Amino acid sequence: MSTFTLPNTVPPVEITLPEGLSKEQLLKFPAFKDWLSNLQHNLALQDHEDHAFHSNRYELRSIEVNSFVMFGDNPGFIKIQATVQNADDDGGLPGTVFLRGGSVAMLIILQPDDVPEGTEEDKYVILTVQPRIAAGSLAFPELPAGMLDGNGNFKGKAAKEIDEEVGISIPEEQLVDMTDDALKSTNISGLWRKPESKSDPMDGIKEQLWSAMYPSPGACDEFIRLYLHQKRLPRSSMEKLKGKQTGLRAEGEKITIKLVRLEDLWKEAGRDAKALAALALYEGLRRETRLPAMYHS
Amino acid sequence: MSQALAFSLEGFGSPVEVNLTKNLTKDQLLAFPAFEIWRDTLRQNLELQHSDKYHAFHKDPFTLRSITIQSVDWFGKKIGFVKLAAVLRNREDKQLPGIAFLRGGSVAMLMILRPKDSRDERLVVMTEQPRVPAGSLSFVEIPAGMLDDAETFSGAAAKEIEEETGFKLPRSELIDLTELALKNSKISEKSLQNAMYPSPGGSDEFIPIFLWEKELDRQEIEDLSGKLMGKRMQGEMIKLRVCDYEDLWREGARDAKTLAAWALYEGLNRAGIVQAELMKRRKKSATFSLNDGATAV
Repeated sequence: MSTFTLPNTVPPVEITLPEGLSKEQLLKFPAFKDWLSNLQHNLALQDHEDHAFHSNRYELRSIEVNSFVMFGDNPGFIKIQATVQNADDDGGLPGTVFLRGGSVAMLIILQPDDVPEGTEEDKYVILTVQPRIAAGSLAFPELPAGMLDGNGNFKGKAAKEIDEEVGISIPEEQLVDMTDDALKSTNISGLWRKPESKSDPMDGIKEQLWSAMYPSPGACDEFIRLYLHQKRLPRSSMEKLKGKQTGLRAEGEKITIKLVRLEDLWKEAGRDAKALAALALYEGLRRETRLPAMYHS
Repeated sequence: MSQALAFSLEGFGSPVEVNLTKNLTKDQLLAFPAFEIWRDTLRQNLELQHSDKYHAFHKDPFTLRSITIQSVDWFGKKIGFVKLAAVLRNREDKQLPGIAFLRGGSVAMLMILRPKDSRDERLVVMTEQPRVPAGSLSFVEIPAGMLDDAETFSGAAAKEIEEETGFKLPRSELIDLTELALKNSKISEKSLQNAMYPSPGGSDEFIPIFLWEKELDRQEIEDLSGKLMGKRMQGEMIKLRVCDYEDLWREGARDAKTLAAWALYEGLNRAGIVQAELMKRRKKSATFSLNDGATAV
């Protein structure tokens, strides 16, 4: 076990490491870097007079690294206990964090090109079905997804995952970042039903957070960027894809591809947070006619 | 040696070796509700490989060989998290990824307030609180509570949300959206929870999502907003907000629970299922009056 002080921290933040994990490995771990950067930025917002916690600020005091899992030479996963307290808070905020970084997930919608454009008719969604032992399942239907490897190229990663898992090649530029689009139109003043006389002190103080969906913000740093791709293609190609669904598996993996009707997605992938979240964003953006036209095969 | 650090688990055909840690006994593990649920779910889904001739693994089924407990987090006298590695192999000696964080479920609530003087207007109760894992001091979500001891919603989780929001939530007024959506799906694995799984690749966490709708006089809602703001002024950690339903998918775009609740509510609404349930409930309750104690504090 070893301890060091995080550079440039006021008050100084002490970090405790377990055996086998070095200071350099921790500080270089992208998930840790990103999490710390967001937290420190958002703590600093308390400097604003109007911030709800301005008169009783929270501070990051210390971090204890409990355990870690290596992926080859580098940490892939780290569990920490962060102490974030204000002046009168004995216990501090709940500070157990599983650090694993982000992922990308894709809502790929296919429509046969013999159907009128601009309708929602006959739209299908591509799902992967694979064992998810943590859920106790051997066949869990989900949107295709992949973990980021820390190089920051989200769309590239998404395109690569689709290619590997689903066998379809989609150029990065044809992916729509749905969370980004949803958050861009956030109308803060319209959101809160508040009495006329009071203004919301949080107006104008925007936190630094990923444009992404957080599956479990109470315990895990995981964020999932949700991408959309819509394609029209010959009905015969779609039939062939459907025909492939039983038994198609990527080399050596246990992934089966399945097509479900878009209108049934909320039922047939109703356990998958990614699918439900993507569906919500898709529907919201579609109703405001903020989606690009479909691509043609 | 004061206690065995391994034991044999029954019920999987051939015995499964379970390796414990120093801070966990066999009895404690078997009494941990999340482990019990995970074990039972996995066992039933492993059996499906044999009974379902169309199962992807029917020809070469996987068997559970061993479970190694890697770490245990205690919250006082209760187990908080268990991290384990399960080994599942088939005859070809292929192995499935088997790391799992067991933490059990939580419950989320879509709480919709309808002003009596308006046909279509709907307002949603949101919480805003620090979420250290997301690096945030003001993360917006729909209200949620931990599921304790594998109970159903009526219990500690209900109490937690009641405390957070000030509303009394009798079980008879709640509609289980995930149950309604999933019970008629074509998904083959019936032993999975009728709930949303935020991160099935790494965690057992499942979140049933409930709906609670309430008609209130507009004045009561306005008064509520004032009170909600008041809660924050007192320096409490959880701030309550009220959001226009039309903006929910945008304003809750970072929260998996919010988006999932929206997608399920919309899907079930379109299918007329929510309306049918609401009618059933209204017929059941004798007098549905505002002054019956189900008002906010």
